[in-house]
Amino acid sequence: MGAIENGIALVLHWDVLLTIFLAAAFGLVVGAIPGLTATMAIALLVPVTFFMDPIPAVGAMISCSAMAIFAGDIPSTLMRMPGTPASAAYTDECYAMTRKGQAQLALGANVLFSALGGLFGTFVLIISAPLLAEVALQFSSFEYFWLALLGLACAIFIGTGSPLKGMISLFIGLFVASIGLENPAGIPRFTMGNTDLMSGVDFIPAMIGLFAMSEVIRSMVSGAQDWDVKQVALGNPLKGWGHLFVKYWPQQLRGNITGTAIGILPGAGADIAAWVSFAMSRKFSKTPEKFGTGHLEGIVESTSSNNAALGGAWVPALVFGIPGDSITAIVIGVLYLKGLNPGPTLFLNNPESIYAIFFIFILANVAMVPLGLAAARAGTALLNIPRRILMPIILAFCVVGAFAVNNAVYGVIIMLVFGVLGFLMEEHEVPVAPCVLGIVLGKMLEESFVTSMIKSDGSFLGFFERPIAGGLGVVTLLVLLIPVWGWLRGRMRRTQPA
Amino acid sequence: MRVNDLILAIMVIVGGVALAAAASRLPPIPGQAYGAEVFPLLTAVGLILCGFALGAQALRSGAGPAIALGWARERAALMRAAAPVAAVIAYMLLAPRLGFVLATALMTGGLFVLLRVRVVVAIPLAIVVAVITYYSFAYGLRVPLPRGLVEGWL
Repeated sequence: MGAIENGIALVLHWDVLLTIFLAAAFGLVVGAIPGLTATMAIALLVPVTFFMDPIPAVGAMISCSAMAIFAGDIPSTLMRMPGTPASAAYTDECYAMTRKGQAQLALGANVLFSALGGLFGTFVLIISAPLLAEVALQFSSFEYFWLALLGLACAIFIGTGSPLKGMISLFIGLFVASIGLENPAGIPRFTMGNTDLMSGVDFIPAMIGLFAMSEVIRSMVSGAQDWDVKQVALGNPLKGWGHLFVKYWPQQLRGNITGTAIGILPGAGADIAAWVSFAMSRKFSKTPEKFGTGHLEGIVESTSSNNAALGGAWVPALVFGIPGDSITAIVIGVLYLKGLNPGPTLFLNNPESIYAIFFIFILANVAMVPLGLAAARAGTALLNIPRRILMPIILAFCVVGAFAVNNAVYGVIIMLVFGVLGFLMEEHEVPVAPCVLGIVLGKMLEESFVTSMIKSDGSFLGFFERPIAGGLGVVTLLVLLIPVWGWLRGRMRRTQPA
Repeated sequence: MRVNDLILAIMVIVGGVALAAAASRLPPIPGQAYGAEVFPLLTAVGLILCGFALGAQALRSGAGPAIALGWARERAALMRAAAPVAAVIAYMLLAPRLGFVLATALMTGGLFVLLRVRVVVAIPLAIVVAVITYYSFAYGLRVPLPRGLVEGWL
């Protein structure tokens, strides 16, 4: 037990705690600014951690990333601008709640279930880190292919409109993902000789355009009139929470488990977790027709999921030094820098550091509740600003956010193009969310597909030969085929009236 | 403003065919059956299939008028729709010359006025927004925003 006590003692210094608190506040701010991701918050922290001891350095990263993932929900709910990609899956749902005057309720639920999700991910990290990382290590291109396809299949059914238009949106996203040099052959594709396009289309400016700028155009069309709903205050948040917790515990638990499992997989992080969980929530819901109208159920499940994924992503990072997502990829660099080389030996030589890391995880997620509530309350005040003033300001943020991704005007151009595209798509009832997911997952899908085809000499059977791949493949095909089967059955009933 | 699903379907099919044509011109990897063209070709096939399905659906259920103008009948609404796009383009042209603060103040200020915010409010507000954004991004987050005359004083 000595190691656990030593680990906790490492954290309980005022300077360590202050560092963690400041990093949390920093994460809240960066996560809440659309266009700046949790990954970017962590990247901005790296130079600062050079001057720190190992434990505060790692602590700063943990608390900063946890806050940033939650904080992404704030602008997502209030302005339909996902602060981080991890919030994009349920942006529309949260925004619909805001339009009904329930912004406080949506944000309150986001804080509570984010914190609980983070704690669940931490719990799994603590008890099963070595075991689970071993399973994830078995993943090859076949498994990744199915995983990406499963994510895309979910995207089509996330939307409330026509699945056909969802698919068109998805294919547009996949096309966008194929622009650039990054493909199995390393050939510049669809770049039209433009050097900026060689590096591909960055999905963050694209996302800002599709979600935020299109919303600015849409509200400008109607003269940016104010909504005639009053935002209902949450009152005593703790009172409402008990009820939420009782009502939505199955969704919460499912989100936690899905999120942690996806987080553990290398390369798949909080973003994909949120998408898959939102789709699952709708699939299993007793009232799927309420989705899209500002319904808490899906929000609870996916916000539980993305924060749980964060803890899960640390499992392969700590045990094998394999990043579970882009955040842990940066963290691994810092771990090496601080002499905490990730790997099984870390558990042998430095057990107190491991326990300190676990303890910081718990602290960060508990601290999220008061900090997050304060930020959410401050954020809701934004809604009292008239929309004729808010919209131009959001546009300015869109421009800066898109620029800040690579510090280049290229990002602003992408944002603009996708802003117009998003506006036109929504005018035609084509949902934009599947397009975003297509851009995000396109590269992984292509790479794993082409690699697998080369490995199996062009035989599709190769995709089912490995046990995990086979299982994932069957699940994916079921997800894709069940709606088709339902449609066929419906047709048959219509042609043969009983 | 929208076109009906039949026209949308034709646009999707044309896009898919164009993508397929462009993809099939990509050079193969020597000695490899699967190269850069595989994935865009699959995407193109997907688009074309979706286009046909959407077109069939539209034909069955009656496509409605080819173009529904809706809000676009109103000239002021059309102008307001074009305004954010024009504002961003203007920003990109002006920022390298005037610097971030002036270009942003012009962009937001112009939109404020278009949305009928009173000028006495619009101008100071646009300047405050530009300055605060500049401070938080250029100093707080070290984003190298374009510098001009005003930024030298800040």
